[in-house]
Amino acid sequence: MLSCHEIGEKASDYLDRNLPWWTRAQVRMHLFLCENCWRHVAQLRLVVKTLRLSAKHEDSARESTDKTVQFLRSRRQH
Amino acid sequence: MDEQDAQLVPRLLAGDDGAYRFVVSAYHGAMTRLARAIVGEGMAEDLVQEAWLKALAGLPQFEGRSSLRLWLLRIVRNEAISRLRKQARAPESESLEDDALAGRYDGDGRWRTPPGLWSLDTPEALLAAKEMRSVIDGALGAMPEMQRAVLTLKDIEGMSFEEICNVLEISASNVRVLLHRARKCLWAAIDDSQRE
Repeated sequence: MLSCHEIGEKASDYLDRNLPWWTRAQVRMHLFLCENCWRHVAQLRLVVKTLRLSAKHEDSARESTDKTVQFLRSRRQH
Repeated sequence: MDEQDAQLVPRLLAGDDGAYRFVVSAYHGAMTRLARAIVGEGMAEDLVQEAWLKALAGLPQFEGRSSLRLWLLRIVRNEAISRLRKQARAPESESLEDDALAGRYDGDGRWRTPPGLWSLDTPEALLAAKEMRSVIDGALGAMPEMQRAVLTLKDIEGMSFEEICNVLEISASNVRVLLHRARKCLWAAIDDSQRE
């Protein structure tokens, strides 16, 4: 069976579904049996979701868009 | 060229204000985040403005071999690398402490210091907590530029591995390694903070 350290090294690829099916099955087996690794992978998944959400918060700012559109308009007119 | 780009590009070339507003609104955020990831907050805004000007100038030659989005992000990437080179630097992929989880496992590969129980356990909770925002920003700020760039494009912009390779001009295996290191680093920072 894979060790916890090996699971940690494969966690990112596991989340991105970048593992061969047999390795993915081994990871899932380990996660089923190991609470610590299950928590680690769940937390890593949470970190990824948090980053995605942070971008949505940022995109709601219109000021930067307006400023850039005006800037490009002024450069086009020259 | 996809349908949206096929409609947008002629309108941009014709100076259609609505088209400019659409494109800026759609892509400016991603361009800024990528710029910030490679050159930092201080230079990002200026760099993105320069990238927009280069895009404007290069638009007549845009052939649609990639999407407008990837093309714009590549311009940002090239501009960022160019700026770093002017400072006699290359973007870093590794830091001195590259294994953020070094010491967390014992010699048998078992957890020595297992993950803690996080009280902030949703994305909304993590982002709402001021001190956690500070931990996340600190970890991102301390990361080597290429790790931060890959993390930005994959986990913030939601791009595919192929698109990231295309924008950053690095191999798929390199993207995976950089992404893994960046995520580990961020996880470790949050875990350490939630234990305190």
